[in-house]
Amino acid sequence: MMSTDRPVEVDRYLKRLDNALAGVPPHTADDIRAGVEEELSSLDPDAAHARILQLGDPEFIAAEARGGTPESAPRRKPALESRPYIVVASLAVAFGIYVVPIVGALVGFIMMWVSPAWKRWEKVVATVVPLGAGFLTATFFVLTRISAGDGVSSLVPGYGIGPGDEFSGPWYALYFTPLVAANALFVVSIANIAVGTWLLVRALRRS
Amino acid sequence: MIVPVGAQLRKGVAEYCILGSLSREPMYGWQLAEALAQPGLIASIGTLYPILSRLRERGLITAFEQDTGPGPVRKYYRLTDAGERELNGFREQWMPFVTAVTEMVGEVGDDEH
Repeated sequence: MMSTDRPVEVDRYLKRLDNALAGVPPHTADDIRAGVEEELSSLDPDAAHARILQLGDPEFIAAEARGGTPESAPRRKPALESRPYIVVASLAVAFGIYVVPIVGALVGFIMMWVSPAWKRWEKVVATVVPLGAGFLTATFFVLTRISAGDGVSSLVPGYGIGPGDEFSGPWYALYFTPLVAANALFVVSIANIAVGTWLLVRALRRS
Repeated sequence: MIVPVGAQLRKGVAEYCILGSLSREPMYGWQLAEALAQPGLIASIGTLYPILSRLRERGLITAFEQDTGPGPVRKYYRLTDAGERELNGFREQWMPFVTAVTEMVGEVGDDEH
């Protein structure tokens, strides 16, 4: 979608457009941005210059978008993208897991997904990062308890494995599984703090 | 003082002009913007996309991506069956409406003798 050799003027215009669209509801802003980029990316520098003149001032485009979007009218602005909602949802994502294990974070992520305050890609990143971090942690721990075949080392270089320590052992798994889960959850909780803070900053900058 | 009714009129009919354009063929954003901006039905691309969002939310149009050969992959919009019905409903009302309003307000030059 993005062209690495497109004219500098196009990049500059898209940056101005991004800044101007800051107050426009995210899904509308995304549509406008994608539509303009799609059009400008297909043109050579001269044609792109002419098209930019045709498109006009990004501030005007954004003002039109705000005026034509019912949900952007102040009295009809949904509570789901108000500043208090953004703060509560972000804090629930960041610290919910410490207040009510699992469920607290789940509430935060549901609040985030139903809100138009964040763009879709931001929601995906915020969801995938903690889950991915937890998965990688659990995978790592399990691999340290799977024998490489020589009886002394695991599949993870540098991590030895003693007799009876193998994950596949009948009793060891009972002890080891909660340990893996606890470590994975700890990493998830740290990642939640990071993405919760990130979500808070991004949404408040736009609101 | 002349009341600036143009903007309100445009706002009212722009949705149906988009439906009408899409009833002929699927179109992408800039194509629609040019078609509507030329006769002054929208002021800019910033007017177009909120309307497209509303029409999609109401299920009157859908979007799909299409490879345009050497050009970029473009997002095209096309009319749904519900959009076709909505457009037909508007078509049935539009001419009687125009006739009625024209009879009431007259035409430019009617008062000149």
